[in-house]
Amino acid sequence: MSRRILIQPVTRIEGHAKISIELDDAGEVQSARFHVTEFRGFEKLCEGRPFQEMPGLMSRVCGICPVSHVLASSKAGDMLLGVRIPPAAEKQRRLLNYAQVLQSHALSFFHLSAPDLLLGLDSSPAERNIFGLAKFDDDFARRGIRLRQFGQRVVELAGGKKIHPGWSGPGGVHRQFTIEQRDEILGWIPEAIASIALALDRLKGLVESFDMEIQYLGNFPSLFLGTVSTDGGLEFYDGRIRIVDGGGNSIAEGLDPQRYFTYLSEASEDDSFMKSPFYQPFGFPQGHYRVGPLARLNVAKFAGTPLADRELREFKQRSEGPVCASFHYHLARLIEMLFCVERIEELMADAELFGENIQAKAQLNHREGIGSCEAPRGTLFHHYWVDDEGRMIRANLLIATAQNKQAMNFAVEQAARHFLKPAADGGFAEGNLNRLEAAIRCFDPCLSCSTHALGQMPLVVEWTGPDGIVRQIVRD
Amino acid sequence: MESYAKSSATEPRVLLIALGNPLRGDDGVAQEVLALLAPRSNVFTEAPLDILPEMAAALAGFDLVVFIDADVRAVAVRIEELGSPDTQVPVRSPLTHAGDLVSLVGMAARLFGFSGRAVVLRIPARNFHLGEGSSPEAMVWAATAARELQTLLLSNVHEQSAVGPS
Repeated sequence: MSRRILIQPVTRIEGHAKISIELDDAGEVQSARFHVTEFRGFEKLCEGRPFQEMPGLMSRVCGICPVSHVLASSKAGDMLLGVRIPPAAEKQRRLLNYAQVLQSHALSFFHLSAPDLLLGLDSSPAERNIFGLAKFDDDFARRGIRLRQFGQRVVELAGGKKIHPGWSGPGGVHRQFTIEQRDEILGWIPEAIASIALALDRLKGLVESFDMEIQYLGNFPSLFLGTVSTDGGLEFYDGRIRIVDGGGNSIAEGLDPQRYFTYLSEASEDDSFMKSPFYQPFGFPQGHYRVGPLARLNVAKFAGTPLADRELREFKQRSEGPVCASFHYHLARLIEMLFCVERIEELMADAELFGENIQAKAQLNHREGIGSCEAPRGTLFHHYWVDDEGRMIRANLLIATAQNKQAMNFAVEQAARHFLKPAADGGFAEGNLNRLEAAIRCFDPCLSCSTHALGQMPLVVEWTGPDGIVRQIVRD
Repeated sequence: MESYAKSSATEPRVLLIALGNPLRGDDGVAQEVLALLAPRSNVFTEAPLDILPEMAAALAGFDLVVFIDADVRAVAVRIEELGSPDTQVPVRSPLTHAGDLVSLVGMAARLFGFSGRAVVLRIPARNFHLGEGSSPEAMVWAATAARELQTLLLSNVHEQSAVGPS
């Protein structure tokens, strides 16, 4: 008898989603899909608003990565104005982006995934959380919390507040960076680097024990897309798009992010509110690609900071070509955290960061603006069309998590096929169901979390027979 | 929630955390309570949208932490203790990524040495629709909550005085 397994909602990700798994008569996995079940409609609700309001509006897309949306939106506004922003403004924007990537990655690694990694995927669900982690290794948990605190503090210091900072807009930023802010930030750097180094050591020491997860939690060749600097280095704020395939072949170099629509398209599917972007020349779904930390490290030739470069060289030795195991998103995330802290430290010594000229003034000069940057989870594009008065006619947001959607589907299906074997009683081991979720958590999907959620979000596994009747519901 | 000025050594250090989104109607009522309180040198305030893990670090060093929160289930203003520092049990599903106050306080105690008293002041609230400002009913509860809070702060001063400066 064929069965359908529904895991809803997926836990320890940002937002609401479910996993459905179709089993055949023999109990083998036929297919598995990752669905996004929430709809927020930001592109629609901004219509008619002045484009100057867009960074503030767009920051509300997400409570975890608001800085990315503010940055992409501000850059789209820069294009509408037709200005090149002053160096001080650009460096402040870079600083905030590094800080945000740091805090977001810290949340993903230490709070959401470390319980799986350190306590084990089969450990008791009652312990498999940040609280259980605190009992298991209080120093590690404390460092994780403080690392995120550091990132949030930098955002708060420079951007005015931790969540939805409104310091940046079309043409630049709104306030000057100060020496006092620098001094506080510098005080955090040694601890931040030590904490990331510790986490890197721990994870690298554990990798061998996750051999099966490395093989089956989304290990497949795909395209990888990310922003690189003009010389091919790791770049989060401004650069060119590079795409490589699973064999390490360069598919596209030097693509202009402001022309993304000439090489990326979006497909809609019936089972999810999330769109499915793909690389146009390869078509859909063959043109699916991965973005985010793993993709960025795969497309970058080097990091550009000493400690991150050392780790990146070691990382690249894990595979002859690109690292294709999605499990290594975790490792890539830590390397990027190191990179961010090093870049933050560099910026603190950069006199241009403190410049007084932080705004390029101009009237509306163009009717179409596109901004892009690297968000924690991957490349982000904001595309705006405005009327003669600067009111928004239309917006298109190409969100990083959506670009990983097909990859997440593949990861879930691969994990289900390998790990989801029914026990004698017809049920499934909880740890193996957790592996399906862990496959998703590798990507750290952010399905938007800025709403103040009410109520619980428990795990529900629903088994449905071919007649559509629910045979069993398991709640945690 | 990083740096706070030193208060008098004889006064308990108090942190008031007003949880909620002021753009969601009554969800912002906790901030209305803060607005009704007279400033004091030993009382520090924060107004985050939601609880965040890093708050655990910020609780350390305070003698009293009061979370103020709109509560759709409450029928009257009430103050609840958040357990001893040894409390370890998350009151929600351990699988959820939503945080809870008991876990947060427990984590503050375990990881950052918080040894003070933690309570939550719950305020009845019904309207969580989009829009600024709390409903008239919630504002009445906010005034009650502010009075309860004043009483709590005064009683805490007295308790502190009875055992001497910390």
